[in-house]
Amino acid sequence: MGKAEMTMIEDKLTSLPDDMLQYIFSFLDTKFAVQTSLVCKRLRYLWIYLPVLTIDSDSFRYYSSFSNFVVSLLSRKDGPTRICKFWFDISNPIYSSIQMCIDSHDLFEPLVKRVIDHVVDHRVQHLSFHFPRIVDDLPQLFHCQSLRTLELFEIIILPNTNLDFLTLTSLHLVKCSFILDGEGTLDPFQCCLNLKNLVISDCRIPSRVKIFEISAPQLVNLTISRMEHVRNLNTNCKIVITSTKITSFKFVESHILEFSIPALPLIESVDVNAVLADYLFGTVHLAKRKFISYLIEMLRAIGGAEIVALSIETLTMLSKFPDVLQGPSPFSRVKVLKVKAPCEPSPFSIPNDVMNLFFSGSTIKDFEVEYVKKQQGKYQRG
Amino acid sequence: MSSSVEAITVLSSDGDEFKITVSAAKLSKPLNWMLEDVCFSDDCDEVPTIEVNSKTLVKVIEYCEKHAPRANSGASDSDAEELKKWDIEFMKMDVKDILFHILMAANYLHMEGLYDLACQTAADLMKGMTVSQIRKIFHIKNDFSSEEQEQLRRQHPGCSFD
Repeated sequence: MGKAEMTMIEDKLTSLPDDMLQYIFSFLDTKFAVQTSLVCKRLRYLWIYLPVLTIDSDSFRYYSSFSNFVVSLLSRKDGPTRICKFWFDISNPIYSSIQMCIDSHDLFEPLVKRVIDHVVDHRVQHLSFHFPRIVDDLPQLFHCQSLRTLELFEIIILPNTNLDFLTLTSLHLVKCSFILDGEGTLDPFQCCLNLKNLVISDCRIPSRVKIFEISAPQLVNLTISRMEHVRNLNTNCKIVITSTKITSFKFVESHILEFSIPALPLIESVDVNAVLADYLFGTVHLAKRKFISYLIEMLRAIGGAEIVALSIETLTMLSKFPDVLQGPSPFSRVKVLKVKAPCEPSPFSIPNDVMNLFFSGSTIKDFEVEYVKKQQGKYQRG
Repeated sequence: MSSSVEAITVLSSDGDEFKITVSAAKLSKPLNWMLEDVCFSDDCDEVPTIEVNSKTLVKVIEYCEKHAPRANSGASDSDAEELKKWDIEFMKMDVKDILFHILMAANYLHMEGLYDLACQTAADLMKGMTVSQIRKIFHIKNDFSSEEQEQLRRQHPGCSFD
C-alpha cells in the first residue's frame, strides 16, 4: 500500500468536525463516548460538552467502577454546559468486586442522590430514570422545576409524594408502583399544571386505592396500557378522570376497569384494546357482565372521537354479551374505524350485533383492518 | 427544463458520470436546487458536478433510489421494516474506506436519513470497545505520552483502556 493511501485511511474519525463527532457520540452509551474521546489529544475534551448523557449500569462489570465513573463524570460536567437529555439506568444487575450481586439500598442511595442533585442543580429538561427500588430522596426530584419530559421506570412512589412538576409537559410511568397510607383516593397528578402527555404503563395501583384520579388540567394525550397482569390488577379501583381537554385517549392491552370520564368536547381519536382475565371470573357470566357494562360506559364517554380504533379481542368479547349492547351507538361522530388485529392476517368481520350497536346511526360503511404486533415487554431507549 | 425528464446525469468530483432519477434526487435539497438550475433540454448539455467522489456517489445514489419511492408516497409499516433491514445491509461496508465519506456526503447533501444512519453505524463500531480497540478500528495514532496516559487513567475511573 502506498504512503498516500495510508494517510487517507488514517485519521478519518479525528478529522471530522466537533459537531459531527458529538452527534455520533449522542448515539452512544456515555461510557463509550468518553472512551472514544480518550483515544487522542484532538478528541480528549469532547466528552465534556456532550448534551446527551446515557448512563447504564449494564456497561460496567463492577459497582465500584460504575459509581466512580458517574461521580467523576458529573463533577467534570459541573460547568455551564447544559445537559439536555439524561438517561440513567441502574436496573441491570451489578456486582461488587467479589462477584456478589449488589442489591443494597444503602449502597445506591448516595449515588442516586448525587445524580438527582445534578439534575436539579443543572436544570436538566429531559430525564429518564430507571431504578427499581424505593428512593427516599426522590421527593427532591419531584419538585424539580426544569423538567419538560420525565420517564420513570420501576419507581416506587411513596405516600404523600406530590408530583409537583410545574414545567413538565410529558410524563411516562412504566412499571411504577403507587403506595397509599390507609384507604381511599389517590390523585397523583393534580400539581402537574402543564402536563399534556401522560402514559401510565404496567403500573401497580394497590388494592387499598378505591379511586385513582387523573386531574391534570391541561392533559391532551392520555395512555393507560398493559394494566393486565395479576400483580397490577386492582379491579375494585375506579379511574376518575377530571381533565377535560383530552384529544387522544388510549386504553390498550389492559383489563377493563371502571371509569368516570367527563364530557370531552375536544376528543379526536381513541384506541381501545380491553381484555377480561378469565382467571378472575372463570365461567361466571354475571361478574363479567358488570365489567362489560363498564367498558360500554367508557366507550360512550369517549365516543365523540372521529378516529376510533378497536381491537379484534375487544369486539369479539363484546359480541358475547348481546344483552348489554343496548341503546344508541356510543360513536356518534366516527369517520374512520380501524380494527386492530394480531400480526398474522386472518379474515375477519365485525359481529353483526356489535356492528349494529356501534355504527347503526353513523355513516361508516366499511372499516380498515390494521395488523399490529403486540408490544414486547422490553422498553427501548428513545 | 422539460418536465418529462425522469433521470439526469451528474458528475462526481473524480469526473465520472452517474445517472440519478429525478425522484431520487429529491431526497437531497441541494441536489434538487442544483438540478433546477441546470438546463436539461436536448440542445443544452451542461452536466452538474457533485463534490463527492465516485466510490461514495455510487453508494449515495443507491441509497436515494431505494428510499425515493417511500419518501415520495409514504408507505406502510411493513415497508418501513423492510427498508430498515436494507439499511443495515447497506451499511455493511469497509469502515475506514468509505463510512466517513458517506457521512460527509450526507451532511453536504442535507440527507438527514442517511446522515443519521451513518452516525449510528459509526457509533455502533465504538460500542463496547476499549480505548485501545477504538484506536485500532479507526487507525488513530496514540499521541499521549506515558505520563499523560497514567493521568488519564486516574482521571477516568471506570473507563476501559486496554
